[in-house]
Amino acid sequence: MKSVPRVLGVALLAIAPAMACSGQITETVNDPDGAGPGGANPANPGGAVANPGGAVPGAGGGTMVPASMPGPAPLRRLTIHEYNNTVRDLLGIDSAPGRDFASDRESGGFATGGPVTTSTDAARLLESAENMASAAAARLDSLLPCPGIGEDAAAQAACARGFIEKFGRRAFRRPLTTDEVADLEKVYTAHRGGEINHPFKEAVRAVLSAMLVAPQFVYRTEGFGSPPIKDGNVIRFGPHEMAARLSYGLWGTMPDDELFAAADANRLSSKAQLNQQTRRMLADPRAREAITDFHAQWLEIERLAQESKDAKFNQFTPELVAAMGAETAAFAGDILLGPRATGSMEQLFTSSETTVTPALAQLYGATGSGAVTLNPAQRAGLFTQASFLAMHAGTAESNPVRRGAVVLKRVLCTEVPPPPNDDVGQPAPPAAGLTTRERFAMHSMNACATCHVQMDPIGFAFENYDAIGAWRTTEQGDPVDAAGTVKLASGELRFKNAVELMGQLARTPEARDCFSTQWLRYFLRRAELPGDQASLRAAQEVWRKSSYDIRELLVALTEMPAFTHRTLSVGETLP
Amino acid sequence: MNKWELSRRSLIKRLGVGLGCLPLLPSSDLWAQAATSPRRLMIVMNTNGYRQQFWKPAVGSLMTQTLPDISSPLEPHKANLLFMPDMSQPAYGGGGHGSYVSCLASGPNDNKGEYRVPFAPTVDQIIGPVLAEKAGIARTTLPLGIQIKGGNAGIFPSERMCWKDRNSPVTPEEDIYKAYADVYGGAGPGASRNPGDMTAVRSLMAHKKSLLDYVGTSISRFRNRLGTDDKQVIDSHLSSIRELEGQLSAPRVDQTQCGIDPGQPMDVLASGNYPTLMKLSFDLMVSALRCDVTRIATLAPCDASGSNISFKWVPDANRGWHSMGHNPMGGGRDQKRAGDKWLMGQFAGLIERLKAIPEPGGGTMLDSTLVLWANHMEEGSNHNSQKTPWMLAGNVGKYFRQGECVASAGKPVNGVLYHMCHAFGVPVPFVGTQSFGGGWDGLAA
Repeated sequence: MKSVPRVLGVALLAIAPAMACSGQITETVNDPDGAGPGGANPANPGGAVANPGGAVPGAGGGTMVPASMPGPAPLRRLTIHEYNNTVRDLLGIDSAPGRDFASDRESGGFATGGPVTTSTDAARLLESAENMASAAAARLDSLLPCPGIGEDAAAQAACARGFIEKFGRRAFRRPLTTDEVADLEKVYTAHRGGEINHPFKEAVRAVLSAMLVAPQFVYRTEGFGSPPIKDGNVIRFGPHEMAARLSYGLWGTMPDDELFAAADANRLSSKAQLNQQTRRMLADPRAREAITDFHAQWLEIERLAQESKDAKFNQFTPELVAAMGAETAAFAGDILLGPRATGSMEQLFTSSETTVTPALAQLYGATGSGAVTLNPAQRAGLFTQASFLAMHAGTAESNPVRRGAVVLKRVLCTEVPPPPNDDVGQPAPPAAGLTTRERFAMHSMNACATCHVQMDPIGFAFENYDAIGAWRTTEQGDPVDAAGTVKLASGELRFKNAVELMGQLARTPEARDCFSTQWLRYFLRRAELPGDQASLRAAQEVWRKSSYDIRELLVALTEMPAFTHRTLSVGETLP
Repeated sequence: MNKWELSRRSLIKRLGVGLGCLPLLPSSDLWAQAATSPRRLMIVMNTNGYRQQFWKPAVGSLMTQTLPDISSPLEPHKANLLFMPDMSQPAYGGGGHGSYVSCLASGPNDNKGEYRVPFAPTVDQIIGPVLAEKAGIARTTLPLGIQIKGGNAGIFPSERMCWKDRNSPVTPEEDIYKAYADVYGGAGPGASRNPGDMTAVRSLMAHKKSLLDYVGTSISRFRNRLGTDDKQVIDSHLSSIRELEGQLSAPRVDQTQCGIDPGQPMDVLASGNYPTLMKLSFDLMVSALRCDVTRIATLAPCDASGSNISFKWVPDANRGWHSMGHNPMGGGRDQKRAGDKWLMGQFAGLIERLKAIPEPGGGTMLDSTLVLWANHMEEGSNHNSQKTPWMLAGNVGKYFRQGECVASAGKPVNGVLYHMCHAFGVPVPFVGTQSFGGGWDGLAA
């Protein structure tokens, strides 16, 4: 068998006749025998690496995964967000040094650390490690197991070794192997003599640099301190791997002392143990980090700060943009965490209680600041917030196609393919007496219709919001028409605007399936494979019984085999 | 012996040479050694196409026609130019911005979504390693970018135009000052010849080498545990370390001998600094090629949409590149046309710069430098990736025809990539895909 068609989630009945769009709904897992397109690579005289696997790491490709087994766990680098959080928690450095790295890459719709491929990438990692080691040098005594050590060389070497073992355990998120300790001792020794000839503390600082540029620090390699644990035909993640899976999944950062202690005592394997840890972690303020990160990635609003708008929107200042992002973070955070939390998915899609600055309140036509209740006829849930609306719009006008495509992809897990080969028909330019909906209506009348009939009705529902998310009832002198119909497998939704549409969507099985799938993808940083479906379905059942409390979904997902186990990767050999 | 040990051996060999010459090897020495001019390549990729009716010359000789308005800045250089309008990208079966990512490879890709990751190397990565290996140069290419991060066409991979292979995009340096420091070691004239400095430099080099050695060893500790895909990821990391080591140990070149001082650093993210950043990028690319730091220099002046490039430095344009693409007209003016014309002016400026540098063996640098000025779509207003407009300026070994607009409609861009490889002595049977990856008539002289 050369490929395994994988249905990502067929949400819309309208897909069936839309052949041009169906190619994207079914995704192919690449063949491992190299006979696929990646195998043919003759234009490679420079000796570049051949691609026998035909696979994309992080996407779960290249692997023939039996339907009964969870997918593999591709090696992945920390994302910029995770790297920054980790150095903050490891060293108390809050300068977000990862911002200079090349962009993260996308995997399963969420970020994973970008590949290190050029000397530029390597130089940035090295530079960051050296800068952090220098910044930490001032408080080196607090990191050393033997502060105030004298000049005795043997004692100093023993102290360096102690530092390597103690600090290394936190940096690598697991105990170091004997070889790894020896490798770092070699760095220390090299710096005490020869051409470098550093004093003790300078040499320790170099060891710190080495740890921070180590692949064991920048990649998730918590499993490489001990042999893999076989569990039937699959591999169970070891305790330190589980600690890191929980901490990066729920906090976006390295494990805390309690997780380290639980891992050391092998107390992260049973469902009860995982359940207890996940609940503890969700009650910790650090959970806001991951909640914010998830929602920013899920709604695709991370790049809002880089958006530029037409000069007519002079209120679109960096301060307002920051307030938009902060609103969404606080909104999701308050629903999921803290004293007023309900964990309700429906509330994410429908609540009008939010947190605004005076300028953002003004954009919403409201007054006041802080915790406010907005007009529920205009603002209800994440998708009617300015962050989402401004991000998914043009510079001067709304963009129904973009808004519709994002909702399809993120709320209904339906990918929309790019436009076809030939000329992409452009909507008529803005003009008096012509609404955006009228300008885009031609999509539903030509070859573009097969795809646009899916996106456009959803996108038109947001026509009450302009390019920066302000409410409007007229456009170009004509009344806004945001009404529409969307056909789902579970039934037809009729709505007069986005508030109604998103409120109805929140209660559909399609949106619930997709939302839980999005969280699984966030945890795994890859698209789900057939073997992950059993875990997903089981977690969804737990979630259903909790009346769709997202916190219960997260607890359930972390107990499932898709999270606790993995299958072997193609070409992986067990020691 | 594992790969890493091999690389360390060659590194130590290199370091032996490099350290002896540290910190500066006067470039005039390098320069004098060059008997014949090396063949060099520059690649610049634009997005959002050009307003074709004002850009495209008639097929045939350029010498018997006047270039249209947008191309008019190139009029003085048309004898050095080859226009290739309306070419297809059969490997990329769609329109839109996605072809940016695979345009310079134009072969099999992952066929996922809009931005499709190529499975084979882009042309710079086919030619670069061969030239560097032959010449014993540490730097296979010099990849630069301007304000790519911040584009909103999408996230990675929409920001990458060059690829070593499917999982290895080439990260361009977007901070031009870091790039200068990287190439020239930040060394000013006379700053580094006293023995005290040499000791400090040796110590610093040994320190960096120790750290990079450590990374290599660490990778070898777990590499064998990995599956095929993960091995590829970590091998790519390993090769980036090797590349960095090679560059650190290569002789530094004195920028005063062949470069231009970039001046006081300005904000590399500020929109208004874009024209200066482009000029500084061209300066560095030209000087790095001239000093034989590398044989290939690439510039990505945008991501796949250029939406964050404001064009406010062109008063008649003054709108986001992508936005102008979709709707060329604004405020009663053809803003896109003005923006396109500015870009052609930049191209003309680059050609002038190359023409102004005499080669030791006669002629100018343009005679031994090929410049590919590419664009991955026809016009912003149609986002058509199957009528791709490219231009070549300069030449290498008189390989290409010049002073012409080639009848290239519907012919695959692969043919140009194929002929580029052959012009640089890399005789590939095809580039991208066999069925359409070979050469076609009208390009080679």
